[in-house]
Amino acid sequence: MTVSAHRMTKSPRQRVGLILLALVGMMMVGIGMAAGNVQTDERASHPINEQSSQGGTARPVQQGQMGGMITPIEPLPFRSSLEERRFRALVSELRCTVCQNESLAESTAPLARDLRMEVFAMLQDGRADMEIRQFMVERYGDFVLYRPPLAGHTLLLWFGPILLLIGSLIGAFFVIKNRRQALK
Amino acid sequence: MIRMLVPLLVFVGLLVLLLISLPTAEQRRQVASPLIGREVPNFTLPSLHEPGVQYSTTDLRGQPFLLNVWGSWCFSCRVEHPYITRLGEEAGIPLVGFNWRDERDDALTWLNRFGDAWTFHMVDEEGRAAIDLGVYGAPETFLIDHRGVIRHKHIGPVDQAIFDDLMRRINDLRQEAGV
Repeated sequence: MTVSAHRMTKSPRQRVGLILLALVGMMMVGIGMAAGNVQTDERASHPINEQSSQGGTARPVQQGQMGGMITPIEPLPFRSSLEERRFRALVSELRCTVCQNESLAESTAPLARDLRMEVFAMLQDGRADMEIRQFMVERYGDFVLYRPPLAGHTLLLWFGPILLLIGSLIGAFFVIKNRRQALK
Repeated sequence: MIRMLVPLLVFVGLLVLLLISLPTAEQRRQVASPLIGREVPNFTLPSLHEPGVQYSTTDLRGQPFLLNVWGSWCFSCRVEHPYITRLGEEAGIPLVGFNWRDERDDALTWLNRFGDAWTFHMVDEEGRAAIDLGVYGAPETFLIDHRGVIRHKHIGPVDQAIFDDLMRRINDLRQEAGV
């Protein structure tokens, strides 16, 4: 029997493999949608962005150390290097809600600057990282967190990728097994 | 046979997902405020017209009111302005302006030029109160009931459809409050 003849035959296993692959494709879209629900995309034409054109004072832009890379973070009077590290960690895992997928650490938007100052003030106030994150979530929702919490509505988001991988591996296993048998 | 049907099934599946998600696409683009159903944060801010006067969010307790976040720098605020004016004239409840991160002179010039249908304006120059309100852009319009609970929030400019929706909600809240 030639290979092409085999291609026309559909063993039950081959069917299982193909159906699994189809299911995986559907799941991928499902995960995309779940992600859309949790981490909603930004509004491209958000009016606040207009404010950035207001003037230099509202946009403290500073030349960073890393080969001319621009970091928008203004120099702040940290009391210790630990405090500075905590600050940097916090602002890089909090989303700038008005930006196109930027963290507070990366954004030059006035609101991001306000929120950075807020984070700094809370650090100076001796608040814990958890409290600061909670402060942001209370006002802006889970959306501000780049790492969404593990909850019922985020299960698919967290475990979707691994399910996807398992599903595709099983699908690929059956397809490969079938083709190998067909070659014998 | 089944092999030929697989692409079709995938396609139909995608189509179903698309049709399910289309009607809610617009809502999913917006960040739902966690403040809805909670009491409006308490803050006191100076008036735009009389800097000596202070307004507080608790001043209006006992009747529903609208709180509209705007700034003279915000283009979309100009776009929604005709509808905000209509809200001020037709809603029958106070319409509070929340002048966000603006310069007083610019704000007053803007109001002179386009018209001022707001009941009064609070000034949040530093943007501190705006953070408590979870404001992330202008314009934003909050609807607060007579107990001081935020019942609805609209992000982005008000258009005819949003205006109609707001008027419906306002009438419900007025009935609830008995005013």
